[in-house]
Amino acid sequence: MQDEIFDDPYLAEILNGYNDTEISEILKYLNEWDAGTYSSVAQSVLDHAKRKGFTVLRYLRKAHNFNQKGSVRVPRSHYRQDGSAIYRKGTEYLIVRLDQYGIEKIVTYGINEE
Amino acid sequence: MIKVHNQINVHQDYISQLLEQLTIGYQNTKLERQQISKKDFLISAEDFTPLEELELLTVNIRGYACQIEATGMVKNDKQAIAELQKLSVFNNHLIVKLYSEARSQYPQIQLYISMLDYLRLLVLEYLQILQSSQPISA
Repeated sequence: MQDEIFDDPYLAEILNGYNDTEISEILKYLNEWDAGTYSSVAQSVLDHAKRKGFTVLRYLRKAHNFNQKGSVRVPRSHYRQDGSAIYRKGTEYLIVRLDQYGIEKIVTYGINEE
Repeated sequence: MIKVHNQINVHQDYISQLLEQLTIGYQNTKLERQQISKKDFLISAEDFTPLEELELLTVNIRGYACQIEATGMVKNDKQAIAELQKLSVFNNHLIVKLYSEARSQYPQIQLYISMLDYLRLLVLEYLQILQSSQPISA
């Protein structure tokens, strides 16, 4: 991960100003995300957080804490043709997609009332 | 060659400006998104809502635009061009429905959708200029 920090300017930007504990937390959460059409997961998260008016850590925490238990999944048991699916609960939603290893990753998180 | 180089630079700069404007544009749609999220669009239980479709489209288009803003290129440009051609807002019936309603009720959303599609076209044009300017390999 150390090499990645130097290789990815967005990861360096995300981690800038956080202490060691927060950095570990951020790195753990980033593993839950998919880069999608962005160059890296860090660039994706940075762009979403900015657009939605959150700090990166707060945004990552909110997405991580989204409780899929009791949420409505669409489509119920499979993925759409574009590979995505959504979990909705209350005003929150989490759009996910399978990565190359078949693991479900977060594409974006949001709150309809935000 | 200088003309193409200038064209590329102008496009890259414009993409960057448009990304910034879209961030503000998205924030300006907050009130309308709140209203729309309470609206029943009579979609099936297996469909995304129009706002969810718009979010996914936003993420897909912004991703390519952010790559260009940062490095002047995208990973796998041929695939990106093919995908961007399919990502037109008018290819998605739920966004078309939202856009039609937005004309009379949600001006900020209408503006946002138009700007997003403009960004898509700009990114597409940029990638096509870039591709045509590259020497053909033997």
